[in-house]
Order: sequence, then C-alpha cells, then structure tokens
Amino acid sequence: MTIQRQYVLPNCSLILEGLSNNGTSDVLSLLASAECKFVGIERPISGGLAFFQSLVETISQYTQALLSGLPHPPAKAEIPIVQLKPGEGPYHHLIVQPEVLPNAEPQPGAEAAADNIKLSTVQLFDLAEAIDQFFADTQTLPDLKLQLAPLSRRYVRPSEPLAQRATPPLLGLGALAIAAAGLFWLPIPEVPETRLETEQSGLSTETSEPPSTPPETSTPADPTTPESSLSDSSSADSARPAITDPEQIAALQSQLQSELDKALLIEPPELEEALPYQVSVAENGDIIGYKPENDLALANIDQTPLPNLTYLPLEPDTDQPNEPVAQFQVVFNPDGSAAVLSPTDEAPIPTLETRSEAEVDEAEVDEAEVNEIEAPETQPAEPEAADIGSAAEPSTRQPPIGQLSRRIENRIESADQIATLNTQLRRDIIENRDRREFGETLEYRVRVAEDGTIVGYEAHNDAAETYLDETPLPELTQSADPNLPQTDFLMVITEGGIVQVSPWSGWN
Amino acid sequence: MPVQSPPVELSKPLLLEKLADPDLVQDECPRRAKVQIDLILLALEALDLSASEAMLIAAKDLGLQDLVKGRVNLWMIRSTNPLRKFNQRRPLSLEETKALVLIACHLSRKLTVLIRQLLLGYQQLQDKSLSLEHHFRLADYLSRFRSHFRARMNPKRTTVINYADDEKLNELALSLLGQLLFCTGTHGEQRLWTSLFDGEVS
Repeated sequence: MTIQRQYVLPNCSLILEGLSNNGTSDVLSLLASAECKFVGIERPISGGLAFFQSLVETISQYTQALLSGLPHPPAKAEIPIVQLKPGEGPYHHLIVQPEVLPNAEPQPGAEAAADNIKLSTVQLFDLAEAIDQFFADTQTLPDLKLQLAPLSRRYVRPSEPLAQRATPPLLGLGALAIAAAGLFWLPIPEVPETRLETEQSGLSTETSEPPSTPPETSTPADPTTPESSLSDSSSADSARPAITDPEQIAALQSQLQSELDKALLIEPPELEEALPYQVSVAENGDIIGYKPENDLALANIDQTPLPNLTYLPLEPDTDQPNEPVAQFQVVFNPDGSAAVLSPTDEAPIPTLETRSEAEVDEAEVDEAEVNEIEAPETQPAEPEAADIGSAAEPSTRQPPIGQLSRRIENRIESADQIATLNTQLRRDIIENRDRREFGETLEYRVRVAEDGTIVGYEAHNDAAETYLDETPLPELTQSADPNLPQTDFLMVITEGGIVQVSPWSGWN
Repeated sequence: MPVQSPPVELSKPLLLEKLADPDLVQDECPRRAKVQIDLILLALEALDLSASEAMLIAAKDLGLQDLVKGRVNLWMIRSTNPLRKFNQRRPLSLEETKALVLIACHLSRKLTVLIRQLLLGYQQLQDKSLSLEHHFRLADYLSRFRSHFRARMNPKRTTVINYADDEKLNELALSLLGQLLFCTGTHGEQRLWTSLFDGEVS
C-alpha cells in the first residue's frame, strides 16, 4: 500500500509516494517517486530518491545563498541532477537533468534535454516551503533532516583582490625601511664630560674601597686592595692640610675615643687580636676616613664600628682636599675596648707588638710592602705631622681646580672691605679677560682674600663649567695665605658679556 | 518564618535554543551579521509603519524581554550596525542576535500577504518592462526604505557611499524583500540565523 504525502502551497505542490518499512506503520520510509507541480507550468518535474535528494539539497543551499548573498558552491564535482541558477530580476532557473535509467542503452542523438524551468521568487519560495514542511514532517522519510550549516570561510572570496589589499602594509614597511636607512646615518650626540668628575681623589672613593672588599680570607686580590687603598689614602692624605693645633688635636682625640666607646658598648666586637686602624678625623669631629693597617684589620673591618661611624659626604663635588684633617691611630683590643692615639703621642709599645705579630701570622702578605707602608707610621708622630704638614703646604700652593672648601675659616666682616673687594674683583676680571661673550650666562662662586687676590673659584652652572678655561679665573687664582681672612662673591657673566659681581651672602 | 532563598533563575525561551551557536572565533556577532539583521529590520519598518511598535510587542510575546529590554535598548542593539550614524561601540552578543532574528521572522510572518503581493507585483512589472513607479504599494515601500536608509546610515562609510544611487537602493530593498519572504517559512528562523554566519566560520 503506497503512502502519499502532499504539501500544497499556492504556487507549488509537492507529492511524495512511497512505502513504509514495516507494513503497518504510517511512516513513509521508502520513497518511490517525488513530483513537483507548479501553478502555471504544465509539465511537473518528477523523479526518484536521487532526484529528490538532489532537489532538496540544491533548494536548501540556494535559499541560504539568497539570504546571505554569498554563493554556496555544490559539494560534489559532478553535475547534480537538480541545479538552480539565478536569472534576471526576480527569476531563477531550475535545471533538472534527465534521469538516466541504469539499464538503458545510450542512444545517440536521443539525449533528452535538461528541463529548464523559470521560476519566480515566490514560486521558488513555495517550493522551498514545501520542502521545509517535508522536513518538519517526522512521518515522512525521518532520516532526511534539515541540515543547515554556515558557509565556511574558504568559499568566500574577499571583495578586494589580494594585490590591492597588500599594498598598504607593504607601503608602510617600505616607508619604515627608508626612514630607518636615512636615520641610521644620523650621528649620536656626545655628552661633554665635566672636568670635576675627572679630578675625584676624594675620601669618598677611599672609604668606599675598604667596605666594598669582601671580608674573606686572604686572596691574591686582598693584598693589592689594602695596598691600593693605603697608597690612595697616603696620597690623599698628603694633599690635605693637617690640624696642627695641639689643643684641637687633644679635643678631637677625646671626642673620637668617646664615640668609639659608645659604639663598642652597643655592639662589642668579637676579636681575637687587636686591630689597628688609621683614622682621619675632620675639624668638627666627623670620621671622614679610615684605613686598616694590616690584613687582619682589613678582614675584620665589619666587626668594628668604624664603617657605621664614618661620615661620607653626600656630594662628591663639594668634597675638598683642603679641609684640615687629623690623623689618629685607633686600635680595637680583644677585650672590647678601643684605644685612640694621636700623632703627637709616642708610638705605644702594645701596638707595635700586635702589629709585628700580625706580620708573622699573615704569611701570604707581602711583608716588605707592609713594612714599607707601616714604617713611616711607626716613626714618631712629629715628623709624620711635619711630613703631612710639609706635604700639605706645597699642595695648597697649587691652584685648587674648581673646588672650594666648605666654609671659610677667617671671614671678612667689614662691609666696606667687601665693597672694595667687590669692585676690585670686577675690575680684575674685566681687565684680564680674553673672551667677552660666551653666548650663555655663566655663574661662579669666587673666593677672594683680604688683599684682593682670588684664592678659589667654583663653577655654579653647566655653562660655567664648560667655559671655565676661557675665563681669566684660573690664571688669576693664587694660593691662599692662611692668615688673611677671605670672603665669597657671586660672579655672573651674562649672555651679552656683562660682568656682575656681588657678595655671596648679600650686601647686608 | 521568613526564608532567604536564592532568586530563581529564569529559563531561556525554548525558541532561542532552537538556534544553534555557530563555531565563531570571537564570542560576539560578526560585522556582516550585524549589518544584515539591521537591514532586515529596516525593510520591515519600510513595509509597515507600525513595525517598530510591533517589534516591541513581539519581544514581549516571545518572552524576550530580558534581551530586548525596551525601546531604547532595541535601538541600541540595532545601532551596533557599523554603518549607522550613531553606531554604538558595543559588542552584539549572540543571544541578542537570536532575539532579533526571532522578532524579524515573527513580524515577517504577519506581513506574509503583503510581501507576496509586492513580489508578485515586481515580477509583473519586470515581465511588462515597466518602471517601478507603476506599482503604487511597491513604490511606497521602496521610497520609504530609501528615506529610512539615508536617514540612519552614516554617509561617510564606503558601503553607504556605494548605495548613494536610488537604483542601487531599490535593488537592495528588493533583495531584502525576497529575503523576508524566506523568513516567513517553516524553518525561517534557522535559515536566517545560519545565513547570518555565512563565510564567518572556518
């Protein structure tokens, strides 16, 4: 018994005939024939299962193509039985290939032409709707279900050809390449080195060296570093003036002793042997440097309170080799006390002994070098002070290059004197200068003694540093007579070449 | 005795679940889809003057108030169309797109008769080689579509500049009319939904 299904729509009707698998069930599972009748078109199209399947797939894909505007290519390569192609305006062409019977012999010249049916959109929609209703019908061919999937990206051609799309990025890369090639030849600007940096032989470098060397047991590096620090400090020491006033020395000695005692109370170090150090103390009592006198002292430096108590100047620029310093011998004893000995004291016996013991113990230390360096220190303090003093004097005769001491010992107080010196300085500068204009404003701090001689100067801005050599200041500067009082002036050379001098601390 | 219970989660309408999520790279609606769904709704507005009201009523009928919250919200999600003058720079979620698809199909089903009439009229004009003004209702639809399009779309966009001619806009309107016809079918929502993502999936 054949089951017939009809899907009737205003413009089209779809008739399916077939049988069911089981004899009694109502489900049409085997299709015998399918027929489409269009209103207004005489001949219906019909066929078997293959025709129907092809029809269904084509219509579905074509409908999707209509909805999205992107053509859906057919999955199979061979010509499908049913094809749909767009026509003019609202028309579409339904092309149906004649069904080839499997046993028929191909007769030459009798090939049936494919049916080409012109369908309007409404008719096409009715056919599609009939098929959709068939899909919705679970009683008919339940295996055939509506399968809709979006079109893969592969089938979509971009609207612009690849060449056109590639031109903007390629142009960008090309422009970048040309710009890079052009800018490659641009010279790297050079930063002018300031002269102040090159003249650093201050305590800041010396004090940073002993703490930075690791407190490890003697390695080949260690003997050299205490040597270098020792030689550095000795050369640095020779450049510094010594405090010669015995009262001052005594005061500083007691101050240092009390400071060390206080520190040792807080943190008593654990020492096996006495450690000798040479400590430099400034006028106001700050410990500005120290150096260990033997390797053991160097190795155990962190156990002493010296690194913590040392005053390191914040600005290396203002560090001066001219500040008066006092040298003291400090020995840290194993019992947790410290002994401070001034240069005026006679070399005490216990320190000599400990030092000689240390010499014998440290076999790897170059004894000859240690002896050499220690020899001048074991001498009585007076020649030492005299040495330092005499070493200091010629050094102060050299013009201090760009660095003034922090404060003037002896200040000129009288306003008249300051005014006179002001005009004198200005006249000196104007008379002795070679170059009038420098193109930028230069500012200097100039120290003048009572007799009108320039004893020191300091650049106060970058331009001043750059053009320092071209000003008359270096030539005019002479060594300071320590007895004469001094005062500071601000000297400005404007862009137009005008020299302006005024007292550093103002006119009042 | 008062009992604090967690708020009940509203179940999504079954209609939404009929539409399967496509395998997209990003989690939001692609550009072409945004343009397409907005144009479909625009065509509906050109067909029927009261279409915008009808959209809100349809949203309520279909249970889509969570997604299409009101008039302003509807305007905002439609304005994610990049061609619009006041383009909202916000992503259009897939759920919102589904809601718009459902609303569009619902409305187009109501206007089935009109759509078929217009298409038949177009076919007859084509057969007789007459210009489009001869069919009054069709000309009405086309002119309304043109004015809506020009009023809402950003004239600086290249795509909009392509549609500067009346003729091109007429063609667009007619193709949209055909698409609306297919939306009225049994599986209209699925067909429209799937067609939105043509060319976007790998």
